[in-house]
Amino acid sequence: MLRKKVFVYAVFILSIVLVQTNIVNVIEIFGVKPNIFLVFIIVAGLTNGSSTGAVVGFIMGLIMDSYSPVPVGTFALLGMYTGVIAGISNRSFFRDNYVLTVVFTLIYTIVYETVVFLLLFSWSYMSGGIGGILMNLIYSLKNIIVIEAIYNVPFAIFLHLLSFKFLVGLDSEKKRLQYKKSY
Amino acid sequence: MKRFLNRHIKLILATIAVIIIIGIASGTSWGSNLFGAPVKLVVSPFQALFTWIGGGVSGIGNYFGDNAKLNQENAKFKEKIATLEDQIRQLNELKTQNDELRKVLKLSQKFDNYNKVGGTIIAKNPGNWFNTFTIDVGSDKGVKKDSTVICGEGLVGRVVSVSGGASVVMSVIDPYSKVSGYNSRTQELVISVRGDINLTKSGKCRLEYVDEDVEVDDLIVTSGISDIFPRGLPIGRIIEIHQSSSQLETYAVIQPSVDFRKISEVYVLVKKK
Repeated sequence: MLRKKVFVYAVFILSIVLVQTNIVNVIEIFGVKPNIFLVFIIVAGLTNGSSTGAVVGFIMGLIMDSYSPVPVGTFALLGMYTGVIAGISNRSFFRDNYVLTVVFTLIYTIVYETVVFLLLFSWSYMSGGIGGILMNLIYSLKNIIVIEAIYNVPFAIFLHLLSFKFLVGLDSEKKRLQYKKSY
Repeated sequence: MKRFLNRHIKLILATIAVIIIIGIASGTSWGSNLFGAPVKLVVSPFQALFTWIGGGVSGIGNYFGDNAKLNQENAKFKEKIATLEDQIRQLNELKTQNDELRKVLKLSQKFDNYNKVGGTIIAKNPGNWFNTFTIDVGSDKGVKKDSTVICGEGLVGRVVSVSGGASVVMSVIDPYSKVSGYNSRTQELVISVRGDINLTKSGKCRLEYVDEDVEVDDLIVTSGISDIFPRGLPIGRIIEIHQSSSQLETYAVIQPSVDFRKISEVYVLVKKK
């Protein structure tokens, strides 16, 4: 069953990479595109738990790294944490409710991109002091991060539905039947 | 604390492992390709296929244009060819003039050392922060890390990572990009043209440490100091200057000569052996 799981995830990841690096550029809103990489890590963690989330997050982060001018591993680490955090949250909530996915995606995107800003870009505004960093953070929140978070929601719902069709219970048939009953 | 350690031991170990890998990878030239190269190797053929299909689909669309329209267009094009040919003649004149001037400036020698390798953009950066893109030429065509990338209008950026058949280019408006240039009007060195996350989205970048000599509409070109970029490539024009009480915070906004939204074909400058 593990082989099947790896295969299905590989197909998902490859198609998301192609969509995110090509098609998404055409459907920008206010010059901002959705981050389907992040949404998929969240959905994988929420539906299949911490360890799956961590592996998916790590791989998607590594792909993100290969497209970006940052030290290799930066986004891989962030992605891994995202998967783990999403996985922990699914223990304490109803996992087959897409409302959780929507709320989690909204809040988590904002937190995640703020962390990315502070980690990767705040040093370039050091000359302006903490005030300068804050001002630029607020500007980015208004013009990029919040728009991205809202734009992520429809993709989160879509991937949530897809993942319950294809990804849940790939480990064991018993789990799958259990989900089918409750869904 | 002990309970926390026990519960999250895997996560902590993984974090330490990744940090060690980052440390090793960032110090060596092969490190940055260690993970990037296999990923690109797998993904880039699909991306090339995607781009190709995109081109094919629009090609089929054009096929069904009706004949009358084509004839009309044909006549129009013939007219245009005539005018263009005239322009070419004029341009050739300008070219000979230009060549003479270049000799005077001893610029020609520098560009003669480079081969131009054409590349098509097959993917853009997945996120909203960076402005990098992947092109379909790599080390097989002699592209190296830090090779200069240009297009007809001017400087595009530089190559940040290379694999077999693809390489990633960082444009001048990327927040991590830094280029030193000089002001072509005053012939004075300006310290750094930098990307800025708040300007990247609108396709602009900023000029730091601006002094009184800089004016709106000045053309900034590469200085050739850093060894990465050859001298004399146009970067862009200054469109506004933000005055501030301290010199550190005074900066100017540059509108690059290249339109990064519409760009699809670029050239990589590869040093001749």
